[in-house]
Amino acid sequence: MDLAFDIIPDERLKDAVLRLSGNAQAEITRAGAYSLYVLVRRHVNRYSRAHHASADNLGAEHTGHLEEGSRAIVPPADNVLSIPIPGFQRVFKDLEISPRTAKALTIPINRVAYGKRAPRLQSEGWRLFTVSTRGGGPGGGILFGRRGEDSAATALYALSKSVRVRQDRSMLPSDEDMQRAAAKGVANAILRRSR
Amino acid sequence: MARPEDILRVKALLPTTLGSEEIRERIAADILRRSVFSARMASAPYLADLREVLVQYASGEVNRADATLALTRSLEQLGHSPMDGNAITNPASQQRLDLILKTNRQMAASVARIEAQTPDTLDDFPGWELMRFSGRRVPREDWHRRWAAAGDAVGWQGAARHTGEYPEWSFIALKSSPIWAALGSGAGGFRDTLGNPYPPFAFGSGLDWDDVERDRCEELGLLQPGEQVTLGKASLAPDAAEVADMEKRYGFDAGEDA
Repeated sequence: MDLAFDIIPDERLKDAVLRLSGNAQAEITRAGAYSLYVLVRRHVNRYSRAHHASADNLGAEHTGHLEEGSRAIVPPADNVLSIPIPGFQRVFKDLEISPRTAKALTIPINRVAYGKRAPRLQSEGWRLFTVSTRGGGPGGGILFGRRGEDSAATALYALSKSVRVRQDRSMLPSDEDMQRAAAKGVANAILRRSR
Repeated sequence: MARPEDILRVKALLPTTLGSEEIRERIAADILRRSVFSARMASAPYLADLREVLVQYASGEVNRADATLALTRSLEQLGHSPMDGNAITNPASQQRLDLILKTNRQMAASVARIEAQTPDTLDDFPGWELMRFSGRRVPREDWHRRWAAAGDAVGWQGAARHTGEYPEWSFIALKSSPIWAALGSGAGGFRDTLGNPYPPFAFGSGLDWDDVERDRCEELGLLQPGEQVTLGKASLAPDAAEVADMEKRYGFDAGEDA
């Protein structure tokens, strides 16, 4: 997800920067963007290390999806910060997730399935089969698995036509904190050039 | 400025029958940094698939579950199966695929981070702190020894001796300090490093760099007020000629935003 920021929202600062050469403008924008990136990366990592409810509820090993994603955030060259974390858009709005090619979403309900696609489990030797639940939700059903003919069937995934994930604005710092960070980087860069 | 996915996209394929120890001993670290390889993986088509998946994973286009599935399918065509066990020696094991995906993504991000440094950013944030970004079930507890060995190896140039004990430790050095290269080379005899002067500093490590503000670096005595830090380029990043060559070969524009 790409986040575009107004690195220099203050009109007087913007005027001062616009009077400088194109190179200097780009450098100052980049300095502000870098300060913003440092704040955002720290915040996303702190958030990620405190949010493992899905895995913990299943007793599953953490995938580290958000933690690893925060490590992958890199400084931007301009005012667009890229957050390479699938689904991060929910910082700004609820997400309605539907299957891209399959008939239903597979939502892990067992730690064995957590962090893995159903075909991967099949490759690991699981035989998967569905049992429709009477009165289940839209497209509802359970994907069971059995590993080895003598083993008991295990409920692995809940099937659903779609899932709504609620917005969580706290995945990013506040707008004020982000503006303050960018402004600090910009101000420092301007001061350095006026010495 | 190259993004991690661009850095991965231009890596050369390095099919090899060598094991990881032999790779480390026989192939120069600089070549490894510029290559997509996997221990005892001689299939160039699989490495090409791996490179493409790494690009998608690094950009956030796919998550790790989807990346793992794509690689599983590619490996199955070569006769490799997760059913052969979860040891790291099995190319199709979850353990192996996780390590490859995470390590390559992190390395590319580290290089992009180094490449992004400018005189302004080095003035505002002249240091890096090595800290835990990703939790581990069984974290290494010898980082203070690694840091001490690396620091001793370079005479603590630009680096602060560690403070605190795990997990309240503190490993801070200037971005220009040679301690980072010493840490990555396994100073002190550590054999699980990757030979890079940037994170990850050991296989499967959950530690990464966080920027350190100038005030803190000055408090630690790492530099004087007004003193400037300069940084060399990371050798993983392609130069302009290499990017142009890859653009011609693969038909993409590394300079355009997605």
